[in-house]
Amino acid sequence: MSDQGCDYVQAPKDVGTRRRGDVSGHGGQRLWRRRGDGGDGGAKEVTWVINSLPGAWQATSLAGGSVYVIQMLSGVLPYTGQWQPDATYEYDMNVLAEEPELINDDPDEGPFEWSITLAEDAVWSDGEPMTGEDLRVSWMLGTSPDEGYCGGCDPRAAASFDKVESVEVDGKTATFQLKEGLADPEWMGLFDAHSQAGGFLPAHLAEENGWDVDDADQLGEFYDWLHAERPEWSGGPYMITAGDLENEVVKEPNPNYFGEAPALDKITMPYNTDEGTFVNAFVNSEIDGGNPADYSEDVILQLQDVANAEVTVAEGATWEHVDLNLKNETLQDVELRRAIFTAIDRDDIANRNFGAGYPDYELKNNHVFGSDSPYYVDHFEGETQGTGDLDEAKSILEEAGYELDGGTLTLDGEEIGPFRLRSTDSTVRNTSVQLIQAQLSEIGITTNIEMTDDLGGMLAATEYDIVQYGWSGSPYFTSNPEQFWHSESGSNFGGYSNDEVDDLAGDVANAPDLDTAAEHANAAMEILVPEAYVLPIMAEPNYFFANSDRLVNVHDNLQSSYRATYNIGEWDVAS
Amino acid sequence: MGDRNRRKRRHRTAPGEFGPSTQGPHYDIGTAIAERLWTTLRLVGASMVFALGLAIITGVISALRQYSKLDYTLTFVGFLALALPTFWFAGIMQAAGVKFNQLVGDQVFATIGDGRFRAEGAPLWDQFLNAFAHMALPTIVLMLISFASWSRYQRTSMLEVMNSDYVRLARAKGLRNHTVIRRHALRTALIPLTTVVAIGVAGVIDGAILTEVVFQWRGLGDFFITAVDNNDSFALMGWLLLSGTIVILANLVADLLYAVLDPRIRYE
Repeated sequence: MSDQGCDYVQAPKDVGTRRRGDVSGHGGQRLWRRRGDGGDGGAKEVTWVINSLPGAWQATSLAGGSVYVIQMLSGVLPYTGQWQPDATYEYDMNVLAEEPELINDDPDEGPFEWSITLAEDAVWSDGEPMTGEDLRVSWMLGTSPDEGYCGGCDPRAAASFDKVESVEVDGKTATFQLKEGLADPEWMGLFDAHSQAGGFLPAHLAEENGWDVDDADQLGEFYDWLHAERPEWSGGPYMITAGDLENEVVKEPNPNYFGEAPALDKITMPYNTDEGTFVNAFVNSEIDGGNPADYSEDVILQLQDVANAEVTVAEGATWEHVDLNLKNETLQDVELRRAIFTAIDRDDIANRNFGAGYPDYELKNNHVFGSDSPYYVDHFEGETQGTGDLDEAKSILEEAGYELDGGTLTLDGEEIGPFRLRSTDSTVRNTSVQLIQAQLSEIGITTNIEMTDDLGGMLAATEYDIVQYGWSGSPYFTSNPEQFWHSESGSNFGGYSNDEVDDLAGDVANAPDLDTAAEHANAAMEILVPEAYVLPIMAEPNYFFANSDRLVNVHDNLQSSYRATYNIGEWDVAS
Repeated sequence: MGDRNRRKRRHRTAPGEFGPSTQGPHYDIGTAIAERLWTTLRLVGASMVFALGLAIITGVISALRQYSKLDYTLTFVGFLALALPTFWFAGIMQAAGVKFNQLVGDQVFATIGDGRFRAEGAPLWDQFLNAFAHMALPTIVLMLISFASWSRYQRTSMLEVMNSDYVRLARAKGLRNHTVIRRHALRTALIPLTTVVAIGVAGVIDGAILTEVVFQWRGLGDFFITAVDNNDSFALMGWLLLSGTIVILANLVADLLYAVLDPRIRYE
């Protein structure tokens, strides 16, 4: 999933989970002026800002695949489970009759197979029951057009959906079988809060509108309709009652919700693209909080001075890294690459960008796992890469036959470089590339900084020698190694190729369980790091702010694209 | 491109089909422009009316009391408003609005958005309060920015007319000062302002860009910024087409007003 702060999604699934709390309370509705807290007979209302415009009404498509769409749909889409803020996984037992069952996890003994059974009382807002057909149709909507189920569809991150060979529906139960020889250690996530759509979709609306879901073209029309029309349906505690894709959405309780009734009478979610306005709006009680995707030191420092503001800053899902272009003949020398990465001072970059607002930052020493993951291994322990040790960098170059000639690095009399140092034009990356330029000049390498507003195009055409950009992740990881490093991956922009890593990346994706997958992923990184292809810097911090005097049960979930809205059904206001 | 294709394109553009957008297959440029035009008109309409009224009144008073303390004061205020960077002034107004709310202990002003959806289905009085709260600050900002230059034009124009022969003649004929100013001087003095306001209103409708960004209104200014950010050339062409149309219409209205204001001007 892409968002403004992150450039590329490393996992095919994103987002988080929910378990509904219990709350109740109603009252009359007041519009402007002081919003009610329910205690004076007024309506309980919360205004939660989303810091960009959603591109569509659903998140399945490329245009809609952003955290903003996911957050805009919070409380509307039903899902089977989600990762909690403490990185534990919980199924949503309001939606499920029982935990999903893994029927066969050994592809050698038959197709990898599992089943999901929805709760008997789980219904959509129009009273229609949720069934296995909803899961089957959601799966078809998520597959790439080559699979032949959805004509003209452009789903993002379809890999997990394309692995599925067939789905059998029996009332509330859907049974999934993967294609021959394939396994999916993250099978439970196909329709959870981190999935492509952020949940699953109502199949019966296709029939109501006259579309046959088993006809690819007609399913494609249903897909377009879902993305183009404001959902007047819901499978969660709230439903959207007003709004558009440019200003805001207004949510009110879903009268047919089958879980605990939500506490709030109204949630308004304005889209605000100018973070500079957050502080005034917050002090003025126009917004009760938000969880912006971008780090903004000024806003954080100002909010920290507001008396009733709870502000938290922590590592987000997007991590910055520096990549080298191995299609450049000069950069095919691993010793040169190691020297370049050794000269880059990651701590300096992180400190200058985030030190003031988030002094507890940690450098990223594992391409796949965060330091709080049980699978985390420090792959940079004892490494000089990223330390900014110029003497060591020069020593590596000297041993490899390079010479510093009057401040210019040469090999056999030929100048090394100048290199194109590229990134997108954000504050953080501007600072970074300037630091990198200065650091590399110390070892005689000249770089020309060129910013771009078309990161995707620049990466796809490999129009760089050195580039800094970001990947966005989630607790799901099994597709990452293939995406990052497999020699045939379209996202392996720099052209890294290693047969051993290719095999390990494939093993990660097809491992029978997460422990085995993590083992393979760490083994791949063990080979990759000494080859100095990608230098992770750090995860970009994200911040969250909320009116601590007013809001109850509202906190951030950095495991999820839903962020703080992951438990929107439990939100309440203090009486 | 052949005539047939040109005709085809014209036929598509006329009903508002401006082509595909880089902002996604579901983004309809024509619909977006129509919605945003309405948003901008709401924002700009009130501010232009107030700005014009204020500019005429202060311009005339300044001219009639030339070099008085009042003239100097109004001149100072006009130049101050003219010199204020929009984004800064808008930020100051937001902060002032928040302070005011804190002083009175109520939320009289809102600082972001137009808040239209949260008012749906509410009683009329609540809808009015909601609209007022969201419109007040950006309206004041736009009004003062436009007022500043317009009042200067009005002052200069009024001074020129007041020193003309026909005004002296009117006074010599014994007409009352009030009548001379209202019926003879002011009408003529409004002609240059009409030209400036016509162009100015067109400009503001097209691009109250900074005000819309700071106050988070999704009008045509924001539409323009978003289209540029997304390299959306069809959206920009749509915006440009609308801009051209507005400029032409505004000039047409100005031309018609000349005849209303000055009886000597006739279109035959």
